[in-house]
Amino acid sequence: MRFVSLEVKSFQAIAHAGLEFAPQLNVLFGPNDLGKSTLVTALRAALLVPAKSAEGQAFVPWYRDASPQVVLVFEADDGRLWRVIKTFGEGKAELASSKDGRDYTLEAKAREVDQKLRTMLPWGAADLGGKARGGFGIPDTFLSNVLLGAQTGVDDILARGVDGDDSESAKKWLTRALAALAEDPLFKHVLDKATAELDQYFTETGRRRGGARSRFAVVGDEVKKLADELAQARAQLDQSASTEGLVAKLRHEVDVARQQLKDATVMVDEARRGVERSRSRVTAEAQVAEARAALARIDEVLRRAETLRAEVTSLEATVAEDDAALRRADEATRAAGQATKSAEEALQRAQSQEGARARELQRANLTSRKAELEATIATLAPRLEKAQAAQDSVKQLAAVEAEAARLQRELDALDGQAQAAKQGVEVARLILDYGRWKDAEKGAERASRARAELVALEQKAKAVREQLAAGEAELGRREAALTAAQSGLPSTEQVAAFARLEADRRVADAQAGGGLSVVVRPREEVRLHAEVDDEAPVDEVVRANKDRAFDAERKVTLALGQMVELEIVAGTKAARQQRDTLSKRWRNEVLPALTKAEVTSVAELQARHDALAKERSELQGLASNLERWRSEERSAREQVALIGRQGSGAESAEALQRRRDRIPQEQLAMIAAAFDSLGAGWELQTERAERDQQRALETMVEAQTKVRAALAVASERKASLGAAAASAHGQGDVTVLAQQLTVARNEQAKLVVALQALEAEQGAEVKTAQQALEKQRSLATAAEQSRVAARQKLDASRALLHERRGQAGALEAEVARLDRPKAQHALDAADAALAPLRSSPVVTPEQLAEAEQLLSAIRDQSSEKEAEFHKADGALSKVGGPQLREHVQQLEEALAAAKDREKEVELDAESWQLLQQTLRDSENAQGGHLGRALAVPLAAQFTELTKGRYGTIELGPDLTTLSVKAEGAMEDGAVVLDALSVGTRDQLASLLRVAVARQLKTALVLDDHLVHTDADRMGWFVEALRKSALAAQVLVFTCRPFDYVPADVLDGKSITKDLGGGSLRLVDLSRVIEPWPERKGR
Amino acid sequence: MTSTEDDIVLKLLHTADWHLGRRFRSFSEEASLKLSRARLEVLDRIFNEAERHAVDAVLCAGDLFDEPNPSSEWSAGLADCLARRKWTNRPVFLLPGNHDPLLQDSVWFDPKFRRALPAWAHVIEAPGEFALANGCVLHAVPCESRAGQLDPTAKIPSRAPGDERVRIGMVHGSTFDAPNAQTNFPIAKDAAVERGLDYLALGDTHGFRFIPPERKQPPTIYPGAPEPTAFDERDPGSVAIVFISRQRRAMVTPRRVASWDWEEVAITSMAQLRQLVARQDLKSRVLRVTVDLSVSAPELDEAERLIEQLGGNQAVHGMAGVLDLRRDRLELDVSNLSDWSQTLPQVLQTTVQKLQTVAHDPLRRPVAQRALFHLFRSTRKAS
Repeated sequence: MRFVSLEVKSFQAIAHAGLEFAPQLNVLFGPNDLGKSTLVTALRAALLVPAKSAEGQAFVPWYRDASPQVVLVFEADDGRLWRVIKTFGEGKAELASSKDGRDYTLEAKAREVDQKLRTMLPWGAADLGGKARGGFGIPDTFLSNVLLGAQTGVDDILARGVDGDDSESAKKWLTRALAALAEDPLFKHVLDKATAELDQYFTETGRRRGGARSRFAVVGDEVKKLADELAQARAQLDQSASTEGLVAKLRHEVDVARQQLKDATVMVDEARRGVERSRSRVTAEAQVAEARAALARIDEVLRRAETLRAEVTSLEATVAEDDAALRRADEATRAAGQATKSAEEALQRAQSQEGARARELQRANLTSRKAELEATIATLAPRLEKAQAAQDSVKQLAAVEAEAARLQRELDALDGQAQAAKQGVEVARLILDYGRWKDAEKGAERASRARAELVALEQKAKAVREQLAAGEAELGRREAALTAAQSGLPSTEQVAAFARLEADRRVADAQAGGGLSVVVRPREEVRLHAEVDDEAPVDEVVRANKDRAFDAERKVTLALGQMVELEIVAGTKAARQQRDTLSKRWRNEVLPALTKAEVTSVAELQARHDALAKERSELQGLASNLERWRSEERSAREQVALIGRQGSGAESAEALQRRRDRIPQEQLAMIAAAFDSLGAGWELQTERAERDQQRALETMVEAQTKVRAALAVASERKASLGAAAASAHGQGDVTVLAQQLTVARNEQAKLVVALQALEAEQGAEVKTAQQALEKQRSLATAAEQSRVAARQKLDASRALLHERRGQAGALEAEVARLDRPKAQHALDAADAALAPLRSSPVVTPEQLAEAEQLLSAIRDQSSEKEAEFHKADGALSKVGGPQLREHVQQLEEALAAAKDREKEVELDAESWQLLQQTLRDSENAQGGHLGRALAVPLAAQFTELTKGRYGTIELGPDLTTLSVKAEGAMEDGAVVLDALSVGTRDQLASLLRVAVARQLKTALVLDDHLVHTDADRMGWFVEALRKSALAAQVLVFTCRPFDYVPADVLDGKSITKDLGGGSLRLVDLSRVIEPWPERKGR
Repeated sequence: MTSTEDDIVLKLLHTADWHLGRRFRSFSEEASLKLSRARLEVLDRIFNEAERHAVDAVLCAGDLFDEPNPSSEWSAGLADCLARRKWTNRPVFLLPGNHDPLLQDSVWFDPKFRRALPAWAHVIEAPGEFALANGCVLHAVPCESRAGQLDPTAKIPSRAPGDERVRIGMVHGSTFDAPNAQTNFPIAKDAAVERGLDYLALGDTHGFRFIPPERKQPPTIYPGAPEPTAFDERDPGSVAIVFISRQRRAMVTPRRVASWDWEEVAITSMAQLRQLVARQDLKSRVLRVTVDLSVSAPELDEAERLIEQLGGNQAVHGMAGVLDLRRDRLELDVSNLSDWSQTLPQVLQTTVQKLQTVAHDPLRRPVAQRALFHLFRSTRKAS
């Protein structure tokens, strides 16, 4: 792993910083207190501190309330670029990957980022586990201290080992990395063999190899191909089997249909014969029925003749009886005539002359008296009516008088109310006048005050106008200056594009780079001309068999004498082309713009743009102020005009006096009190009151008019009723007249009753005689009716007897003609003909038609089945079942064989995998003592550094540094670490860190290390670091750049300087780190 | 044959089921090709037999090609093979079967193929009667589709009263006793009797069969495929030589023409394996070897070596003509590896022990055994 770039925003003391790292040694220098360690903290935070953690709060900037953000790009061992963005405080994090450094694909967000990072970078940190927890801080592990730790923790680095880690990940990684340091040759052979075999099966990332030559692909493709073919063949076979099944089914159905057809044909033939038989039977049955009917008819005639004979005898007896009955009725009729005559005579006696005359005289007297009484009643009734009418008129007159009096009272009340309303209207008008007078008086006072205000306002408006004029002038001047400043600059979008191009170019440079190490070893002395990257060319003579080494980042050009010129270029062709394309674009597009803008970098250009943007923003503020001032000036002018109008509208003192005089002096106090009680809405209220009083007054006048008219009508009515009462006078007393009339009517009623009694007396006697007569008459009538009935019955009996005797004569003649034995014989013959036909069933023509219809349907059905069968048979002949079965069987066998081969390949691959894994596990188990492996190279370096003063270093199994051996120090040469000087311990710790990073081939960050180291050892150390950086990137943060490069290299002009063909990059952090403006001012 | 030569009125060679162009997908590409070519190579031996017995006609009873449209390699091969014979009075009747039915676009109507056939090679294009030597006749009915449920012999007319000629029938299909015969042109067992035939030449079944088995007259014969096509075939690899006497009695003799024998061998001991490898007849064998062995590490090494001898490798041909090896039950006995592992460095001894532990898991046993075997071989080779 190596770092590619770091961008820090709003992070503790740093407002912004952006860095690009070289692949090998990076010396990042700057004075103390600049923020170097903050950058290291940011780098560590990007990799190790969860964005949501409480520790993230510590990164909040010191001078601003902003969210700290770190953007770190690093390259994994497989060449893939990973970008971590963490915004602390907000708790946001994302991890994206890219193959080209341009297009990134989001891989994880939020908490998953840290989990993934811990998987990618096995530094011994614990897994973050299930749910997000914000409390995780920087993991304190062996590798996080070794690779990213502060130099102040030297003792921590030496004293702690990997066993103290939260997880085994670092130990495993180290074990793998260190294991190769001490391997048995046979073990190595087997491991290499397993690796080589596995390489045939799997890629470096553990994926199965693809492609035509892949062992998996060969068998897999074969299996797949065969499986596909088999599936296809099986589908065809299924179809074929289905067709075969269908054919078999149809064949059976055809057989059934044929049998059905045969049966139906037989049935129809039988039906036809049945119909014929049925027809014969019907004929025979008809003949039998006919013979039987003829015989029945004969028997019927004989039976009727016998019946008639009996009937005639019976009728003769009836006629004799009826004749006797007639004679009895004649006798009864005569007796009834006698009795009726006697009754008539009795009635005549009851209606004799004497009784009638006495009753007539009494009736005449009563009738006379009744007539007298009717005349009296006729006289008295009209008189009584007139007297009653006069009495009513008197009563009505009294009512009219009472109404007239009520109306007069109402009229009086209305007069009083009208008067009050008039007064109300008057008072309201006075209040209005009073109020308006008071208003006019106040208006005069306000006008007086406004005139005073006007003077002050006019002064203020003048001041605002002056301020406005000055502002407009300034705005014009600064806008002109801004326009002039912008004229030479590219647009913001162009600058952004330049920045992107610059970033792309850096990435392309990084991708095209990668480092070159060229060694020239001439066989004989030769003149060498060398050009390494962008450095100055070198011309020198190289002696025979002497090595001359060149380290470059991108390119080395060598001219060997006059014979050979070599150009060695780093990076893939695609990367170089990308770099060249971007460089060309840089030259053509960006450099002219920079020159024109008289700047040296895009950053400067951006700074210029930022300054211009700031100026533009300020000008916008100024313009906004101007607008505000204009508004104020307008407002002041409007106020002046308003106040001016107020001053000019006041009434004069004379006009006010006139208003005052309109109010009577004696009412002034009352009006003032009423006005004060009304308050603010006095005018509207008073006007409304005036209108209300006026309307009431008008209503009252109208009511007065109506009441007066009603009074006039009542007066006229009174006069009329008085006259009517007077005219009835002399008709007598109503009560007396009424009594006289009642007496007359009572007597009249009694007379009517007496007359009715008289009539009743005569009626009783006559009525009894009449009733007896009526009874006798009724008996006579009944006797006559009985006689008539007897006569009629006798006549009818005689007629019927006559008729029956005629019928009997005719029937006897017919009987004489009949031949019953012949008819009986005919019946017997017909029965004999029918007998054989009775056993056969009746088949009707309809039943025959039905059977024929069924036959036709079965025939159609059979034809259809035959057609279906032939069709299916045809289909079967195309699909071909038997061969398909053979084909499927062959494919099944082939597939089974292919699967066996596939299984074999899988088994082989898995077994090699298992072997390799087991070999490694065994190796790890053996090589669990990590210190033993690392101690050898570490001790070698330490000995070289200390020029032999110290020898063997003893490291613990988990890389804890236990002791070193010093030359002649003790008998066994071992000294404890505490005995070493601070500087030496620092150097040992640094060496350990470098050795670990080198073995792991991962980036190492050294922050202000070796501060206690003398120049001699420092020189050795720098060289060691450069060598180590060839294998693993090293970032050195230091305030002593001169330890790494000669002073003349640091010209103070460039931010970044690449040396040694890219093997060393110097970065001036004082020009990279942007502190907060507040801090700058300190 | 009991009849004398003078009694014989007709000599026939009856063959069928050549299946030219058949592929053998269970085997490797190379083996499959080898076996496919063998089907063409056998034709010369068939025609040699015809010449040797001086037959009057060669009856080829269907499924001569494996599919209706074989690659021209096979049709041209057949035509070449026939054309090489300078026959004049020995007609060859080629009958389309259900594998190569007489479809419009089939090889039988391929003009190139037909032009390449000699004049005496006749393709049966419709049911009909064909003249044979000495007044004998052939009634042949071709398959015109891949399947059918009508008995093709139904199209052969019955012997007319007074017809005393030798009547030979030739059709392709299954007799009713065969599985799925219903749709594979089912042939009644008594068809020869019913149709008044003196010999019924059939094709379809790959083994030599006499129908009915009691060898009653007239014979109905399947000669079988001249080269086997599968391990489970009974008596394949022959043709039928048929002599018909004046009394219209047919005498049938199978003649072997195959060059390949298909054989299945089960190996359950090292001794058996060693014996197998010692055999001298393996070159013409298609061997299916099923190994069911649990062996020590050195034995496994030997077994691997012997198996390699049988099947060959990229450099050397195997002893078996074609090897179909089933070795999934060949196991390394992991219980006793101490003799070998003691010679190894400590780290490898640890590895052996770990793999032995893994082998205790029945699911991972095969992988662990194979890994141990790899380890064994790698250390052996290195040493």
